[in-house]
Formats: sequence, C-alpha cells, structure tokens
Amino acid sequence: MRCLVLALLLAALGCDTVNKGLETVGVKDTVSSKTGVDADAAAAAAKSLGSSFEDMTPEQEYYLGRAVAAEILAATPATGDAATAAYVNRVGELVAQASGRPDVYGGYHFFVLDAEGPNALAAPGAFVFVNRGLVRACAGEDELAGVLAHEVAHVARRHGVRMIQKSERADALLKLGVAEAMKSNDTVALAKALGDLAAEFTGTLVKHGYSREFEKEADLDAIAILREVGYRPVALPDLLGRLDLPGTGGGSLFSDHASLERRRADLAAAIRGWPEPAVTAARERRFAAARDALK
Amino acid sequence: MRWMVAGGVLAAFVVLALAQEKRPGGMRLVQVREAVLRDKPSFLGKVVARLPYGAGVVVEESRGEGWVRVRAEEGRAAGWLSASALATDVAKLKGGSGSAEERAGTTSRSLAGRGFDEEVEAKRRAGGGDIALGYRRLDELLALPAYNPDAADVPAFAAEGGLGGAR
Repeated sequence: MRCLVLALLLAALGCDTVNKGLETVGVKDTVSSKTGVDADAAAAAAKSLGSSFEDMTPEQEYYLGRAVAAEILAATPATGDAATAAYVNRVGELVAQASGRPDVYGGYHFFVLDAEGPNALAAPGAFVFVNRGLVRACAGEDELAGVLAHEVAHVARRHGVRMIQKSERADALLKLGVAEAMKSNDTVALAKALGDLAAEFTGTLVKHGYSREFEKEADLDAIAILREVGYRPVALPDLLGRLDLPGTGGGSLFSDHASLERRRADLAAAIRGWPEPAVTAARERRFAAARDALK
Repeated sequence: MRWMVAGGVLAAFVVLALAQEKRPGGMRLVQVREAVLRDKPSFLGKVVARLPYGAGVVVEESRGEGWVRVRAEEGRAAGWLSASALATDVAKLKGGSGSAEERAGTTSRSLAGRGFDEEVEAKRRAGGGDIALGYRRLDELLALPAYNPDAADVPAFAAEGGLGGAR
C-alpha cells in the first residue's frame, strides 16, 4: 500500500504545481492572467459545473469513479487470481444488495490489489479496492464482508462526491479548466482539469481516507448491513481490534483520522444485545479457498 | 385508561401503515445501466425482470427502506426495485442543462453543464501515459465475468453460506 500511496502522491505532484499559483494568488487573478478570458464568466461556469457535482447523475459519478479507478490501477495492478476475484465480488455484491443503494449506474465492482498493507478504499461510482494483505488478514468471510460493507456504505452515501463538493482546490482546478477551455475553444483543457481533479482526489483519498464523520457513518452502516444479511456484526470490530495490534500494520486501515480503538469501541457498543449468528462450515470453506489462493 | 393506551397504539399503527403504504403513482426513469426487478421488496427476492437505462416505469407502491413496486411503461415487466435506481425527471437523468449539442460547446453556459463523461475520458486516454495504462487495466478487468457479479445470484450465494437469516 505504501507503494500505492507513494506512486499516487508522485502522480499528484503535477497538480500541486498547477495549484500553487491558485493558493498564493487570488483565483480570479490567476484565471485572468493565465488565460486572458473573462474571469467572472469562467467562475460562473465553474460554479455551475461544481454545483452540478451536487446533482451528479449516477452516470457522471460512474465516469468520475472510472477516473479514480484508473489512477489506482495504473499504480498498482489487481491480483491475477480469477477465482478469488469472483468470490470477493460475490461477497461484495451480497452486501451491496443489502445496502441503502443497491443499484448504481455501472454496478458494483470489487478489486483485490496486489499490495500487502491492510487497506481498502471506495471510489465514487461503486469501484471498491481491497489490498491482498487485508483479505489475508481477515479471519473469515464475515470479516471480509464487514470490510466490503464499510466501503459499500461510502458509495451508498456518496461520500466521495460530497468530499469533492467541499473541496476548494477542486473548485480552483475547475475554474482554471473552464477558463482555458473558453480561451482555446476546445474541451481538452476541461478534460485535463477534470483529470487533475480526479488525480488529486485519489491522492487525498489514499493518503488521508474519508473524514472521521464519514468513517463513523460507514462503520455503523456496515454493521447494519452485516446484521441484515445474517453475518456476525461483531466481525467488523473484531477485525479492527486485531489490526490495532503492534506489528500488524494497524492504523493504515481505511483512515487514521479516527483511531481504530475508538472505532472498535463505538461498534462494540452499537451491537450490544444484537443476535450473534453462527458461522457455517460452507462459509469457512469458501473463504479459506479464496484466501489461500492469494498466497 | 387501558382503552386510551390501546387507542393510542392503534393510531400509531395506522400512521405507520399509511407511511409505509404510500401510493405515489407518477412516472420515473431508470437511471442505472440495468435495473433488476424482484418478486418481493428484499435483496433476497427473485429477479423477475431487467430494465435498461432510460426505461420509463410507473410507481404503484412505495415501502420503507427504499423499495418501490413498479410497472414498466412498455412491455409487461413489473416488480420491486430500489428507489435508488430511478430518476424523478428527464433533466436529472441527463445531467446539466441544455441539449447534447449545447453541452458539447465551449461557452461558459455550455461548459457549466459538463462533468465527467465518456468524451472527457476519451480525451484523457488519448494523451497516453500512466492514466491510459490505468484505464486499459480497468477495462481488461471489467471484461471478465469475475468482476461482474449478478444480483440474481445473490440469494443462492447467501443460502449456500447459511445467510439471509435476518429476514
């Protein structure tokens, strides 16, 4: 995962260079001096474009997700084992169908990345990534389902899109891209601006994860999904507790904004008194087969 | 006193039932590539039909937890689906404002309706480099059946694993 983080940060450096001017000089001045177009008109168009993220259609969210997914897969390929991929996608589809948003434009897709760190990430548009190291760290299907349900919850609540809406840097990139497009009478500049935005968003997501508030929402949604499906809700806090042990790479799972211990404690309190269904032999068998194929 | 309590409980049930059995009617459009219709309002329901992007449906019943019972405008397809699959109006489905031709332009007005779409992606891919490699890897994976789980397989996969017990 560190390689992925590094690669993405390096990829984002180009965007940083573009943005330095926007941070130190007023955006309006930058747009005017760099492009020579009416900054107010460009700003108004960018504002509308930015607010269109608020009303982003599932199709637009899908293409944003593809852009993020391409950034991630360019840095780290997926593992080649088709049987494991099929299994992880079946577990993912099961929890996605039990979520608050089972239908997304292009369907849910789950990728096992060829990376060791225990980490996972949800991009907009229902592209979910989980590192091989995290699948192997799970004690069973219920824990894997907990991880995937947490990521599905980020998609269902559109946390990625909402994160971009709040971003001033995204707004600045859009203004510049719109102004460049108006000047050159070509949408290539807009495509570049949107690409820069996707790259920067991916870098932020990989490095910092979602906010503490979003992580908590996703945690609580995840245990509700586990309960709805019939998995053991305690599987998620169990996994978080184990990853928090020294020497297991704790702290890199999902986000370091909220400590794993606090999240574990919150989840344990939330599920107190809930039924604890048994794990079946069939579930253990199919998970073990998928995990062993990743060795 | 006992009758008052019983009356209150009954009233609460009636209010709850009304809230869950709304009959909103009205036309909606499918806003996902493929919407699956089920025989009951549950992710464990059997898939009875599929509707493509843009298909019109009439909502006949709405339940809590986001399920709606619909009937396709064309053909005989009917069943339950998640309300998240439906857009309320055409403008919402298409995104932005104006026609496709208007949105393809580079005026401030036309640019305002743009966002991430196929054309933006094509322009980025044409530039080559790492991002083109990323898109190529993505498409190669998405072409494989393993990465395209079918909602219709969910009940059997759940049953095999002894799941679905919460229902």
